[in-house]
Amino acid sequence: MYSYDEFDRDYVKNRVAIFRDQVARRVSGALTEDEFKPLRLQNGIYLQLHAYMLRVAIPYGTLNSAQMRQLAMIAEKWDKGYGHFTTRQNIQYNWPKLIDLPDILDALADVEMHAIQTSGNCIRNVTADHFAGAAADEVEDPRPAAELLRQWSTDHPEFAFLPRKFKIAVTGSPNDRAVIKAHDIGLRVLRNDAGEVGYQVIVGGGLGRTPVVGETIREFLPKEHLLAYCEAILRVYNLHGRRDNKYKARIKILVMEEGLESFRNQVEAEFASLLEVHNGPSLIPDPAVVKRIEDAFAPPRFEDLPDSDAGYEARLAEDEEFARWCATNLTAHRQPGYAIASISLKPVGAAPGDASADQMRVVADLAERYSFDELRVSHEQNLILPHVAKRDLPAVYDALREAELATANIGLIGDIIACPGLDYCALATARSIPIAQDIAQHFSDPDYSRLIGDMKIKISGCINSCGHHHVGHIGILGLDRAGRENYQITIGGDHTESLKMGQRLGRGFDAEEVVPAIEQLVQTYFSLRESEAETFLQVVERAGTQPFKDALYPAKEPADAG
Amino acid sequence: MPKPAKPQIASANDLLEGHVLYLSGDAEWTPDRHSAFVSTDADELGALAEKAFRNRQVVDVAFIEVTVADDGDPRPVALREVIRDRGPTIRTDLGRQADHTIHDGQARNV
Repeated sequence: MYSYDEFDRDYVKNRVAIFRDQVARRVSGALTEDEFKPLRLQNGIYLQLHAYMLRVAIPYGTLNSAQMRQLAMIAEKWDKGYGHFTTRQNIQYNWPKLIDLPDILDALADVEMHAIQTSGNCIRNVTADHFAGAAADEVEDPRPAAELLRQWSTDHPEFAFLPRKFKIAVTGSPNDRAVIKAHDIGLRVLRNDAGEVGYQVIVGGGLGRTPVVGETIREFLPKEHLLAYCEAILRVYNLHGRRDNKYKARIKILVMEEGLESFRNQVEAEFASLLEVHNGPSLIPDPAVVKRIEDAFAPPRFEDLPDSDAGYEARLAEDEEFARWCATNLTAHRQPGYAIASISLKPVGAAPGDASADQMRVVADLAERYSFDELRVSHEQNLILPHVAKRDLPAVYDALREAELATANIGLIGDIIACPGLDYCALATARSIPIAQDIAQHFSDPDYSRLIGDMKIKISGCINSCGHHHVGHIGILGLDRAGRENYQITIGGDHTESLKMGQRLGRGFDAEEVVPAIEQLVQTYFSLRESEAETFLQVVERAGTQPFKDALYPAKEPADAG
Repeated sequence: MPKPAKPQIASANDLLEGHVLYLSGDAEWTPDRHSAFVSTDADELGALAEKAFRNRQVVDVAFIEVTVADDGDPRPVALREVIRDRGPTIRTDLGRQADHTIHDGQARNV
């Protein structure tokens, strides 16, 4: 894992000291709220419905056990004993007091964490494949690129006041688990015909009120030009992105209005200029810096193990629940004898993404003991133990079960993404979490959810789409209709490398109608699928949305004329 | 004929702690919604809020629509304000609804 150097440490500690002074000046009245608000937002502090909210960056979703324990300590000492893991691989605390926040930020800095650039019109926390460094299908670990981008974008003076926020995601695998086509810039590590490793660069994707699938602006970018090319994209956006209307200010709107070819030409011209005219070589990172970063993400010292383990196999054969958990929550590891273990934060009845301080400590202990001290946060609001030897899986499972963290539902209908919604968020128009809980409860029979198979339900409590509803196999968008919560349903969304936006089926539903509607969609899927192997998404792609519309909105019986 | 103005109360968040407050008739910011000053006149509420700024530092002042119960309790109309007044609907152990120091369980009574 990357560890701060002296510059990082000084910078973060100094930012805390500056913020401590800003809070003191706000409390004394020397700063007005109008003056103070942008300063607190730059430190990830929002004001929500009930209290302040602190959003802590977890760069590319990677953290170690000491960091997780510190997050638990903060939850207990200064918050309400829990945290909420988000779709940007961050953690949010919902109840901090302003007067405590400088101390909280200091505690984060002690473990090389911060909340800088988790808000505001700047380059936000860079996200990555949550299986990075472990996935069997990976060309190369995407985290060195993400870390390089983090260093470049942190406090970048030219990009502190962009037209709007800017999100970058990186994947190292052809199977996209980082939703890169729904980002302002999406990067995919790939190898060209000559065997060189570089990046496919995708631009102008996004969700929100104007969902757009990102388009490829560069098929292959040599690694050394990553920063220069991103700088060129940001420069064109910073200059021409709209500032007159916040709803038209994201780069996706600029790319759409200019057209990809025109936008690409501008970026390429800026890129050439950066390399040749404006001291561009400074944007080619020092190889020593790159090496230090790459070394930090070197694979752990895996044992040379056979791919199967007798104890693990025996437990699989004799314990149905363990076998069920392994079937859903494990992913193939690149190293024989190891597995990637996903920890579901979606037990029936819980708020998706919430973890108590005690649970965080359990996960930290497991990471330290069984996963080379590494943890990941997924954008799907789950936690990952990336490197678990198969022989240790029974012990890991037992500890997770003890902590109520062994829900076997990864990738199934209960593994729902849900934003905080109107239960917490000042922007929300409807609640998300109770809808997720009702659906999870309804489909809690493990045999039934396995029968349904691969299913991604994603719920947002407003059009800003923090719950990624556009790319859910079933997407649910909560709105306010004349003072009542109303939920629009889309189907056919796809969050992977073949990213697609779901299609809206028709009028929205009252809250109590949502679960019956989802059940109706599932029954329609059952009636249409040609085999158990054909997934819900495949059926929607083959049969279209009409059969599902017909099921949800049956034509009214003609009136009896007699 | 113009519609009659609807009754409103002023609400805000405490600067230091962030929790929800209401504006009373004697220009104090209080957690006690029952003692919130109800008016159909936004100018009157605005003037009272201006006066109250001297007494306590608050942020995000907003006027919210209420209905007034028979016992005089002003109850928020919008779901957003109901949740803000109580706390998360999915965690009744959190927020004002779980704070027994707030006037007689009023947060649950909206």
